[in-house]
Amino acid sequence: MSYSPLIQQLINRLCVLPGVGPKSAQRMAFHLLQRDREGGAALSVVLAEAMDSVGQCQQCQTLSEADVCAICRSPHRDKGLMCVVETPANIPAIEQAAHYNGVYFVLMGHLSPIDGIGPEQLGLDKLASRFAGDVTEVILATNLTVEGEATAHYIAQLAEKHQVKATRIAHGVPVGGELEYIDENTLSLAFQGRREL
Amino acid sequence: MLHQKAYRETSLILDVLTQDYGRIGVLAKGAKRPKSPFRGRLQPFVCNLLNWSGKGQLKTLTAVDTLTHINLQGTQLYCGMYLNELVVRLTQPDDQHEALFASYQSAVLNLMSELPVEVTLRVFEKQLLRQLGYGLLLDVEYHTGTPVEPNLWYQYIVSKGPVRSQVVNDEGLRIQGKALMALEGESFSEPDSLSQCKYLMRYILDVYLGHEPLNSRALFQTISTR
Repeated sequence: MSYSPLIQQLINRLCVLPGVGPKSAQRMAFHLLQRDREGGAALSVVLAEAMDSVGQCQQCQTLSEADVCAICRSPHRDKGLMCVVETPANIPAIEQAAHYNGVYFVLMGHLSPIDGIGPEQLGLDKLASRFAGDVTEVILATNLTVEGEATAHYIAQLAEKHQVKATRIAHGVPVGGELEYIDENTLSLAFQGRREL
Repeated sequence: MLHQKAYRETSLILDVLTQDYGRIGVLAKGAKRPKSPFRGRLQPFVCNLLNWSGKGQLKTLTAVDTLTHINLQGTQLYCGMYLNELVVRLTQPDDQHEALFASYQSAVLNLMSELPVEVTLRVFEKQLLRQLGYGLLLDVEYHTGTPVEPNLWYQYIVSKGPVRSQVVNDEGLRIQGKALMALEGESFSEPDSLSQCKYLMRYILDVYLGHEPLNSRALFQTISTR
């Protein structure tokens, strides 16, 4: 089935979204054209604007249209406490869950030598210059994967050099988890990271 | 498990070193879903019993059972990443190397032990090259076939082996007989021999790796210079 060129182009472009194949893209395109022209037009405007003006925060590297993001600018945030995460999507997760009042640093990835991602690609020299400033504790909230662990270890070494205290988030049993259903790796980590009550 | 990369929303493509089928690619469908049975079992270094289906280049994972849980920390972790990068860079998919699996497994286990990591890496590098068909001549002099003498100096030439220093001057890498003997016997009693072997292996591996350097090695260098 062939559509008029413009509709076909729209469908093809919608396929760039994650999890959207030709079928869903077609449904989206027809929905916008048939039922929600206004919404479609607004989407196109904001999409163009966002693609054009969203950049990275100069201090924490997260996505932001301002030179310095709202969290880094806020006077209520403790600038001595820094949380290192892998992606911008980790920030809202932590904001929602933890009573965390420090600032962030977004790596935009993790160390992965096989894929050719080393310390330079992650902007770790920028992080080192932050350590030289007023940061007193860095919380390493990278993923619990081999690459995330390697990244955390590397940053911990960097922090030690600048006499910044480095801590790693705890790993273990999830809330509501029953021990017999937890995989052995997680359980062994939970035992290694046990603490006194 | 050597490496994993994301595929679509929730799946992973795994690079796996197997005992009987060489290095293969396996697709783990839905491995990133919260309730996937594969979750947490497909991290690098872990030794698994795998079931897969499919005959093409990319197999589909059907079941996983973890045999050995590996937990590397700090420097051991960097060394493990180095091993994996070496295997991925030097082996071809689906090429069978019978003893490579055993060499790799003992290397990973040795990284967790008290053994100095440098020794583990040198032994693995030597065994890897042998299994790839690039075995090193370490015990006799290349031209004369006479046994290597511990106190003599040799020039190591990659496609040949150790050559007495008087015979060739600039070609190859200068190395002492006892370092060659230590590598041959896989027992390093002198730190000096170990460091000579490090440069020897680096020199030899660079020939087989081509122009692109090993990224994990660069990672080590930045750490040690800090």
